[in-house]
Amino acid sequence: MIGEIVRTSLRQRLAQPITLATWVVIPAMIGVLMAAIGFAGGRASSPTVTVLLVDPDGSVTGRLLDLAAGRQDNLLLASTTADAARQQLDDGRATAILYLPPGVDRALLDAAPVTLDLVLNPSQRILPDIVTALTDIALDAAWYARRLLAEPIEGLRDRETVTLIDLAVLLPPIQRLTDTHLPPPLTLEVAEAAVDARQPARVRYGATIVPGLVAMMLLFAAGGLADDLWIERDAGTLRRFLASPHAIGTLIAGKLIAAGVIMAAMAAIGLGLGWAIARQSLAGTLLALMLMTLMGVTFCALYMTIQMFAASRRTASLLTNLVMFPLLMVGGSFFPLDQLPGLIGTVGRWTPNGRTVALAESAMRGHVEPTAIAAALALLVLLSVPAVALLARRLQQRGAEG
Amino acid sequence: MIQPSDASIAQHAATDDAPVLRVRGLRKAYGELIALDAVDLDIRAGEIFGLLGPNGAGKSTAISCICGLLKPSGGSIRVRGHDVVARSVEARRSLGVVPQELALFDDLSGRRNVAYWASAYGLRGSQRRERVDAILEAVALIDRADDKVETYSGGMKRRLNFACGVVHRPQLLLLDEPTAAVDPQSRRKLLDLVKAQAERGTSVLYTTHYMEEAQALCDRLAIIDHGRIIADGTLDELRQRSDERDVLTLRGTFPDASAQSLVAALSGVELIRRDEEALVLALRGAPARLPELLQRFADAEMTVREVTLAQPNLESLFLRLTGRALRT
Repeated sequence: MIGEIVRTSLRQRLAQPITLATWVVIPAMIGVLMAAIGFAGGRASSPTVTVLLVDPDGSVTGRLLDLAAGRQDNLLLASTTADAARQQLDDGRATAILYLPPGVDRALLDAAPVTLDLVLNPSQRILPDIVTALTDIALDAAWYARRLLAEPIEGLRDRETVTLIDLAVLLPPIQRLTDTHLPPPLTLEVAEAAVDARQPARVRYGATIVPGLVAMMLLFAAGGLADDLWIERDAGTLRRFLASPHAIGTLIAGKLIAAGVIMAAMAAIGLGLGWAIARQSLAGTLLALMLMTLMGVTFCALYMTIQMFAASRRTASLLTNLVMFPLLMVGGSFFPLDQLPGLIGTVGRWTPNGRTVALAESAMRGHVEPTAIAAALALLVLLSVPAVALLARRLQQRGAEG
Repeated sequence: MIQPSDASIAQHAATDDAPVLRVRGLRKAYGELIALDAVDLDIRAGEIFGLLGPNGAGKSTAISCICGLLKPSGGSIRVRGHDVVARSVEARRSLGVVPQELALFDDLSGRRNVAYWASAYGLRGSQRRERVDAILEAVALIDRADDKVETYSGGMKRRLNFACGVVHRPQLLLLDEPTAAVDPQSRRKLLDLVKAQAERGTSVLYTTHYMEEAQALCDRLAIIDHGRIIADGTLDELRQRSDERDVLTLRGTFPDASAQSLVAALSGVELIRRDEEALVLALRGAPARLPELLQRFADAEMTVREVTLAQPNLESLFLRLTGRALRT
């Protein structure tokens, strides 16, 4: 009889291709959106502070500022003429114009007063403040340099013009000062994971979100398939089945097997695409398929149980969604698990779906942890068995209600 | 699973005097509410037994207890000797249920529906195909067998609902108001199908609140009200027990004084109403006494052109027994 129930359930579901497609398409659309946001995030540059430098002398000060700016990722210092600078600022293509007056080098060497003009772009909000702060820092740096390096600078004052090469005399004392007064408080050594180094960001991102999206598909499908029992109750076929010689467990088993077949097919499509994109472990992908399908069947059993305790089919659907969406949020479906903050991430990894997603991700990368997989399977069984027992009891009551 | 064949059912009907269904002291309570109380029923092989009562009388509760959907609070129910609680699987194998509400998969074809329930009772392969085709033929749905049920009319769905309940040829068929909201043509067809089942040796428990159906169909009847059986027996037995008289209406020419004195001279006959052209009489056993009465009127030179006999029916019987009309 189980076979007949499975065949009948599958026929009923295949007769509703739009419903089946919905369970796949909605998560797929969310996935496409997430991927689009992720890729855009990878490509998009942070706001750049563009400072136009007007330096009619082509001064050493201007060259030094240019060198300093070149070491900053988000700071662009471009030398230009006063007219061109004004035009760019008016067009909104620059954050500020810094005017270095003629004789700025001499003034700095002689510690004579000098005025730098800084014109800010009023149409920008935060970037001009950054330029103001950076200019203040530069001026402070010049003031300290003048005092800390007073002796070698005095040696340069005799020269009519100073070039960058002439400034080389400043390097030994700067090095001494750095060694004695400014030792680095800590040293960072940055190493990239080998797998990340080999794979393009697009592939890494795709492989990370695919298990979460497949979990989302399966949770949607589980919610929809769990509705089968309400359909049977409303149609009266549940009551008729309860009057047949078969135990109610036969009906539940048939329904769950049919659900498993549908969910395995859906998971195979999703994980297959993930494998095709990321070209990761085939064996691991198959293991992920098994884990995902079992997770889907477990959720189907849980949803069936929850729904049968609802007073109406509408309430049943609402209850399912109340359970489903928080689990999707923390379980690695809407956001990758490793991007979830502290406690939420920890909770997410302990949800049945989050745990399965994490293991599936790991398996697809070729890392199989038998103990963790056994624990996950045990968790799924631990949830399924009491759920099915409770469901069988509840179905007897509901069927008798007529 | 062993399926009863036509021959085995017929043999059972012919040789086994033990009731197919025996209910003793059946009680079902929901807290303070007593839905069934001290219900006793016996249904023999090939018998159509009507359980008659108004809505809420306990008919469906009794059916639910017999088919194992509800656990009785007390008493015992045996189907072919198997207790429906202790040996539920064996008991249910002998049962066929046609519920009051349709119990069909609307998105599947009629054939798939019947095949599904055939499988539920252990029919497989060619036997299943043959039985499915045979019952679809019997309920006149073979031409639409491969269409989805959602395209069927209400009457067709009722007939399919019946087919699903009998495809495995049960030994006891429970019919819970199967003709509710059915058009006259489909109702007649369904009643013929029920009779055909009984002729094959299947015992039928038929609940209804349609008096005419019960009168036309059932060999024996029980009247249930407030969860208790208040009368049971054949229709004639119930009529006798009700102590109600037949009503005989004679149309013709009845002169005033002579008609009145003639009726007064007849023993056991009461004159209910009289005018120039009609006499309404109340008496017991009117069909048997009609020739005598007509002869007496002929002898008195009174012409009788038309005779109408109204016997007490279940409707009036129910009213007398319960003090209320049936369809309430």
